[in-house]
Amino acid sequence: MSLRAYRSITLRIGLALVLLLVLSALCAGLLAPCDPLRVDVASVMAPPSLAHPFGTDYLGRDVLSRVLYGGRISLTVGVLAVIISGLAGTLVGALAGFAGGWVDEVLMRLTDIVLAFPTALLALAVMAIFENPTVGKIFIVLGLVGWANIARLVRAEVLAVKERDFVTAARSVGVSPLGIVIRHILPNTLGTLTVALTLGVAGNILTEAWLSFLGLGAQPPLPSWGAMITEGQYFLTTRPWVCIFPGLAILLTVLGFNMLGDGLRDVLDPRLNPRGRR
Amino acid sequence: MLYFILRRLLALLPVLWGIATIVFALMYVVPGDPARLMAGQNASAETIELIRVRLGLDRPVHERYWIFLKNLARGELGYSYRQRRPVAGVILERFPATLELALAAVLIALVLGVGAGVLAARFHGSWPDYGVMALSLLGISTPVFWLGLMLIVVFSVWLGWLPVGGYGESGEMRYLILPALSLSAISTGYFSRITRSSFLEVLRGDFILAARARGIPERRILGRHALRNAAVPLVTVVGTNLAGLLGGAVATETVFAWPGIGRAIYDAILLRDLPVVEGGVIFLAFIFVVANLAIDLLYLWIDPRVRLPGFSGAGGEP
Repeated sequence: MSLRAYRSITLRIGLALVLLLVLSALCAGLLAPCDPLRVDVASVMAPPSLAHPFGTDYLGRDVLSRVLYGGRISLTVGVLAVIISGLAGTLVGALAGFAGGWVDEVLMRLTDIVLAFPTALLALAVMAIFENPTVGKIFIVLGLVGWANIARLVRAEVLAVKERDFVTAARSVGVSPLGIVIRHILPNTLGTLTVALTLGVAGNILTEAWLSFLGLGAQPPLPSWGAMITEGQYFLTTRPWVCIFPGLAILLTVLGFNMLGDGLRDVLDPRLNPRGRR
Repeated sequence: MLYFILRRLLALLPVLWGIATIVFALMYVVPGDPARLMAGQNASAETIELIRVRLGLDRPVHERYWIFLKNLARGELGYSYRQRRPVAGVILERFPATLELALAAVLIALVLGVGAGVLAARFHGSWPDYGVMALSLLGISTPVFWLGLMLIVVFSVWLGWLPVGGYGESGEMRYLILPALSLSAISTGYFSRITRSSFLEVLRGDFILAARARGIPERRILGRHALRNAAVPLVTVVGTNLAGLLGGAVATETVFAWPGIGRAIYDAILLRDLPVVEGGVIFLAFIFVVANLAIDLLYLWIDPRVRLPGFSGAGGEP
């Protein structure tokens, strides 16, 4: 890490938050005091205590354990969806930028159409047709609706790099077009792409929580943060903890990825920040 | 100028067609028989067949697609299975409430966001700046529906100041405050960030230096000279943010039992009344597209450079 990276407080806090959340989701089995699915009729809706630090829900399930396991769902959906949109977007963007001509025209018009559609609503429209929505469907749908802005970013980068001398040099010594794209052009887009994908994880986690809250995501009894809030809202006035903690978990996770993305942008793309960091 | 408007209107058509086609494709692949769903459990085979013919479900795909597009052009969005009336009626009935909520949220976000952004730029590098930046990061990271629930806990349950939800007798203001506040959070965050950064950009311009040299008070420099120039990126963000706002409306209206399109979509999800879900989404997407067109036209007024014939599109990547 460069000195600039070290100096970026945003990056450090974001990285710390993301690492913390990834670790706690990975080690949910070790950290969670209870089985997230275990129903305990003896302690239904118990307020936070030593035995249940985040309290229990309407089935007596431990909220802390459910929040920890819920992290696995949110992070998996967020990351896998971003991988899908990253791959699809890079493919479309690189093809459009490198091929140019009518290929570019057609692909970019298509991209414009998708970009003009509010993506979260598109995801909702797609998820609504499934009779039993699952986590797997969510990340595929989110991945497939999220590629357009990646495609546009990659295309812009490809266009910017395409005419540079080292690409001309590679072409003149007979490197194939595919080779040029993979070896010379794409590595130059990595900085922009990393930032966009990191911010994409934040957006996807937020959208997944929103869809699950609306009942279009992970189904009960799976401990998805959004669905936990749906279940908790009926007891909001008297037992707010069932809602508070999953929501805080969403907030912290999204905040972490947003800060990581912002920080990475400061470090990787100094052009966007001409004033420099103080 | 007329050319610009005409070109933007023409560019709208493929987008609207794309949206319609995606939604038609979704409705076509939907599992389950809509006619059976609509007829109810005890309906005879003849009744189901009759409904199927009336809905046009017995025709081949391309015919159904064509009918769908023709109906859409006439403003018909299909037929609600559960409410047994045209979806367009359901949507139009709910639209005023959603519009009211969305406008209130945008207004709150503009006042708070621009105010905070200007404050941050004015005190760049000191604690008001850091405070605003931290708050705006929190704002854009908050799940809207959860924020709504938390506002209910604090202002309705603990303090008892505002109602838990609903629309009130005749749309009283106090019913609007909490939903609009929670819906505005994300936009407020984005608006303050963009205002801050474009202000910092503008404040480094020569004309600001010139204005300062002429002894124009700082307040007027910020309010008159800088604000107008910083408005262009802000207006772009207002447009792109509308997507999040309309999506957020579905969640907010659900939490606060606000009788808008979002709530209608949510209720329809629970009842598996797909025409209302898809019709609602088409309508919201349509609002989004049209609002962004309006915003593009707004540039003509804010930014004279757009009126030049060679200028291709407004805003875009930095």
